Amino acid sequence: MKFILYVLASLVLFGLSVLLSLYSSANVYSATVMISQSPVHITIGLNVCLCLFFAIANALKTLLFGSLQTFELELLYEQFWITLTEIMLAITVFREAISISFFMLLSTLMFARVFHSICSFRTERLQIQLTDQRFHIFSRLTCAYFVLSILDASLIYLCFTSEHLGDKSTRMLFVCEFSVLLLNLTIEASKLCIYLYEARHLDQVWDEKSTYLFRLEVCRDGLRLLAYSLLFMYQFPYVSVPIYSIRQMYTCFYSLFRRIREHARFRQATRDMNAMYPTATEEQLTNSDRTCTICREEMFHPDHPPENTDEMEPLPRGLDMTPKRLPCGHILHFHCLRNWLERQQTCPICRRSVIGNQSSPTGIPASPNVRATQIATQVPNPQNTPTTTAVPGITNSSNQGDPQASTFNGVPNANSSGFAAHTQDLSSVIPRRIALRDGWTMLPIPGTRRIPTYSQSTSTTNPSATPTTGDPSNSTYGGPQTFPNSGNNPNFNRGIAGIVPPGWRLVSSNTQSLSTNSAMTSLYQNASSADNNLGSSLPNVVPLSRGLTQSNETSNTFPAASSNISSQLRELHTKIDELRETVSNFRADYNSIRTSLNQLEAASGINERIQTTSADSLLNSNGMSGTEGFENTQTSITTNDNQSSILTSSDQTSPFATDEDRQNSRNVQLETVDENF
Amino acid sequence: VIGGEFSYDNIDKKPILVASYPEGSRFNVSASIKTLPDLVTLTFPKLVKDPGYVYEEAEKGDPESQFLIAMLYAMGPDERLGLSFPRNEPLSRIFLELSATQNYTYALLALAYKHLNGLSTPMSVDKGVELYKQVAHQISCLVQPLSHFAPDIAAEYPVDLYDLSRTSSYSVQKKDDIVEYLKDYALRGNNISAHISLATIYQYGTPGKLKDIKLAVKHYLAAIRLVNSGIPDSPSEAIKSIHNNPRHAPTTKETANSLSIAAFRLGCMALHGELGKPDPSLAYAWFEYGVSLNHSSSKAAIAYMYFMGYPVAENTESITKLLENALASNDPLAFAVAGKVSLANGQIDEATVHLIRAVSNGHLESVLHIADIYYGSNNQLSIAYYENFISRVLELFDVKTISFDPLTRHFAHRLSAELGNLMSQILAAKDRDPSTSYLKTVIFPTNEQTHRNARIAMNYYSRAAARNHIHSLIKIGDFYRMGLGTSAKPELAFSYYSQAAAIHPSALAYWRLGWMHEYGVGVPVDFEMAKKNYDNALMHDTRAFLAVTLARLRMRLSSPDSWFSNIYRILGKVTYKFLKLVQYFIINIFDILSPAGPDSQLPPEPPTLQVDRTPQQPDPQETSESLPSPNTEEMGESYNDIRFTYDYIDGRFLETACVTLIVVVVGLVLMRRHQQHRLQERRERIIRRQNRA
Repeated sequence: MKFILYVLASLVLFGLSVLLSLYSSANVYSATVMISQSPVHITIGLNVCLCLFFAIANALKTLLFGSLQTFELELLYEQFWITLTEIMLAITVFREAISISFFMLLSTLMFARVFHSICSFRTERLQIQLTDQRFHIFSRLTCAYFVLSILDASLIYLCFTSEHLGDKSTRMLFVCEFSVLLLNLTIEASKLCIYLYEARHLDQVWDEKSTYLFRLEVCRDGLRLLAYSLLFMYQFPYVSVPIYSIRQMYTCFYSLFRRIREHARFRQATRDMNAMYPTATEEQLTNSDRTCTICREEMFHPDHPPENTDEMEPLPRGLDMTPKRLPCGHILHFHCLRNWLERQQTCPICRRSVIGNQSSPTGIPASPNVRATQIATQVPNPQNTPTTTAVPGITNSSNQGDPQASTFNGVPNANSSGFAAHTQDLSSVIPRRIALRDGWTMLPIPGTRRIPTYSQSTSTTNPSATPTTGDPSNSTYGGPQTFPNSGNNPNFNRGIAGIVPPGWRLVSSNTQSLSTNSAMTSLYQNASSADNNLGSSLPNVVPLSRGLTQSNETSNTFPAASSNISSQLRELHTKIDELRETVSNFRADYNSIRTSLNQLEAASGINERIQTTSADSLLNSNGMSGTEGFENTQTSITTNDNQSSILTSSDQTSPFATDEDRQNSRNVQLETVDENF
Repeated sequence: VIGGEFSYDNIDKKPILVASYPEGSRFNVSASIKTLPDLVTLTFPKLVKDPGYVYEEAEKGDPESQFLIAMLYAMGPDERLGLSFPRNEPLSRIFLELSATQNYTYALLALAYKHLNGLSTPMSVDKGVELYKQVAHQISCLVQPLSHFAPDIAAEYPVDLYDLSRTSSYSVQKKDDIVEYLKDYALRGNNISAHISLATIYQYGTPGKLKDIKLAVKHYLAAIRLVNSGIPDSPSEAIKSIHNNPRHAPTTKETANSLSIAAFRLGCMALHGELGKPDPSLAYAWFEYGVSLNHSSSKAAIAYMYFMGYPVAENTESITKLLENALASNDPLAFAVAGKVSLANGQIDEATVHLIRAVSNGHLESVLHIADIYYGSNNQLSIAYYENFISRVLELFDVKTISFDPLTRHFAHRLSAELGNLMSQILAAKDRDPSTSYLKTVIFPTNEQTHRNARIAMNYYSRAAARNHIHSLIKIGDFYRMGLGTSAKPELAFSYYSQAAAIHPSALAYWRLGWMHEYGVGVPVDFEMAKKNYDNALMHDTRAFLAVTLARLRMRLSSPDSWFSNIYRILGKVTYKFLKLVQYFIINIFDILSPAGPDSQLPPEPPTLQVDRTPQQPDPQETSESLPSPNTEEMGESYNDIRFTYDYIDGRFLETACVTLIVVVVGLVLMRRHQQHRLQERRERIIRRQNRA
């Protein structure tokens, strides 16, 4: 509405300016001279041009893409500014004054870029949605491809042929830019074909897809580099320092380099997945919540298939649903893991690298169990594999723990002893990282030096809490310092204080598993109640979803913290607990919805109807639905299952959509943007 | 030494005061010569109030009245000015000759113009030049040889007939602001250059301010007093006190320069008798003070004093020395003096070189000398220089007229046009031009008044066109094309346009030619020729880009080869119908607003009738009766007023203000809406939150 008003106002203004000039000049010629010379008239005229341009672009957008969603708009906004900055750079090399035609070309380029980025973004999203096979060849997206390619081609032709668009170097710049856009479009179209092919053969898992995609991308980057190098060669005699082309060449080259490097890492991470990542044992599975974080499906050990196999959907051929355990201990489906590794070579939950573990090649693929024990022994031993599980930030931040870590080797009985063994000799034996449950880690708080005195006192006061429950899975997986996994343990309430030694903190990198586990919640409450008893010197329990280093600064102050701070912390904790409770409520709701969905699905068998009836039409991420809700892109990207995003996207104010999630999703988006251009 | 009766000029020994001409000489003029703006301001009210009295005066033998009556007969009836003398060239001629026999300057000038252009007399260049020379020498007493540098306003602010140049116009208000600012700066800030600038304004006068010699002297002395404190208020005593007790020298170069300018100006004023009697010795003293500050113009002035022989004896050696010194610093006055000296010594070529340089610097007297040099040998050049000299001295075309009320201004322009000033002719024609606004010409149908105005305009345009003024030629073409003041003759229009394009390649002329070829007006439709002409237009002026692009687009759309031509034609027809409707609507609205009806009230007066009228009985009563209804008169006037202000004062400002206003209003509306929207959103959010709670 505002835009229409603006268009109308501009048109009226322009009409007035034309009438005024016709009124005050004797003939049309002088009127045109007046319009083209008087600054005011020029401003009005340009404004009208711009306005019409925007109107056309808007109409085109509505035709080709429908209404845009919030994150797409954000993306476009960023794209717009990037382009503007680039153009500013490009302008620096021009010698002649900026003409109107140049201005028009520039705006066209800007919009073309925006359109192209929407197009590629839609393609990426289509890949996710193609599973329900609703793609028609005469869809909006293909139309968009068609129209945009025509636009690009015609502009390239125009820039080549028409002389009065500017001098040669200007035109060459635009030719280059539009060719790159056309190239991008072609590559995106080929990607779309690949996705389509995959979608048509859903029953067959297509492992080479990523290779093809990679080749396409490399091809694009190479051609882009070539185009900009040509531009550079062309501009070089005219301009002393063609910053623009140099910059573009650099970005292309860097992108190419990074892509190849990433691909190499991907190849490394997926070269022999069966050998590298052990199959999770049934115990490990039962210890976790059996849910694959990526697809949200239940995981089953191949030897222990679920009882109700008949009720489940038939899996496509070649889809490997074996649960695989990453070096960090997280368990995922083989297939999901592979999909994830295509994008990033880190654990999707805790972001630890998945490759570092393989620095010592094992030679022969070991059997999963052997492998598991091997890792288990390796994990607590930083001497053998210094980079095993340590995130770089942590190793840096826990510098003062290093001298103690050197003595860690001396721990004789890593397999059997509980935490008590270490608490007795904390001053000499402090593990670099104490692995607890999934996603829980104990980290030393930097800056604390009063460890020994306190630790002794705790060890004496709470000796009973320290012995482990004797869970074998814990010992195999997490090493000796495993957190006792039992909400039922009567001693547990008091135990938390004793388990986490002073100067250490519990760190969670996995909010989801936490929220599902009510035992953990109670653990938290207990911890905070224990906090009351023990005063200020209690260990700091910090939930941390991702960046472990983030809380370092707050924890730095801890040893000297007064009771004031601890009370504040307590308040915070209670608030967090409240939040968690709501989350678990949501999850319960989600589960109920999910079951009902499954029932419905089983009943009707029509996927489509369920989607439209079950949740908001937000899910219809083709963009044609025209809703404006915020959609958590991370989930939609990381999962292949659309339904999983129902919960996260159903409510804007959902506690799932915390700031960090948002940020995260943004990061992912940015990466896709970066790769597209 | 010599006092009041010293001869002023070595070349023709012309005295400074008109009164001291010997009786009966051709330079003796019965009345002191006025500049044209002065003449108009004095006589125009009389003419409008009581033309009969002026006529009687003329019959009694008053040369000024005779001249005025002659001019009125030459101009013909003019509703706007309230003059109804019929147009009668022979009678005008008779009155002019009567006035000229008494050596009345303006009459001589008008006669000269008539002779030169063959208006109501056979064309005679010799006679014209002769008369021009006479006029020029008559008015040379208005010229002060040392200090008279006048800008050539016609060259600096040419009349822009089609508003094509769009240069910033001369603004009276701006000048006033400058004066106020200078006053403040001079009086409070004790700034020498501000004092000097202010004094200059007072000495020469500006369109807004009249001359005020006393104030000028006061400011000059104030400027000098800033360095030599305590000098008395009288210039003569001031210089004495400076001589007697020389103070410390001025500190900076700028100060010295300003001081010397003040000294030089005071010297000139003393010499020209503006401080009372002409006093060469006082002038000499001031010039000497200027020379002591190393001022080149003062050196040239001293050389001039030596050359003229007052108050010191003629001294060729000093002259050469001083002049060489002054010429080295490219002083315009030095060129003028050097030219004069060479002329007196008979070195014509050298004199010409010097004088031309002085002329290019705006020295007025040198123009006369150059004209004299060319007189006889190259009459055309001589005429051009005489004309330049006369129009600048008599201020035939001057910014001063801006401060007049529109009627007086128009009269001044017409008078000046009759006296042969090109720019005034164009301006006078433009004042009456009915086709200055395209929109108006398109919307409103022509009526009798339009035709009368057009005839007057065309008269002056054709005179300007005779002197190869391109835009006037094009204007005449326009008139023939549209049938304004004449019957429509597109062929003739086409020939006028071609003539303009041939004389001086003008983008406008080419564009018009292309247009005629495109639409087949006056010539058959020929897209090829049209294209060629449009290309020519673009070649000669890049500003034609928009017009030419539009034309090319139009041609491409309307060419019969194009599949789009039919649609274009239909669209064009629809648009035409729509515009016709709009036109009808607007005209009717005007009719409703002014029930008097501008056309019907005008008495249809065919031009032949007016000519037939006997010149002996110009009846003032009848004049007032034949005036159009006051309603339309006012409308026309106010329109004219706005147009004039718009053209000359602050057209751009008006434009900018309008546009800014519109933008601000639109912005405000949008902002208000936006705010409301946001408020509503917030309210909704609060309600939602409450509901949830």
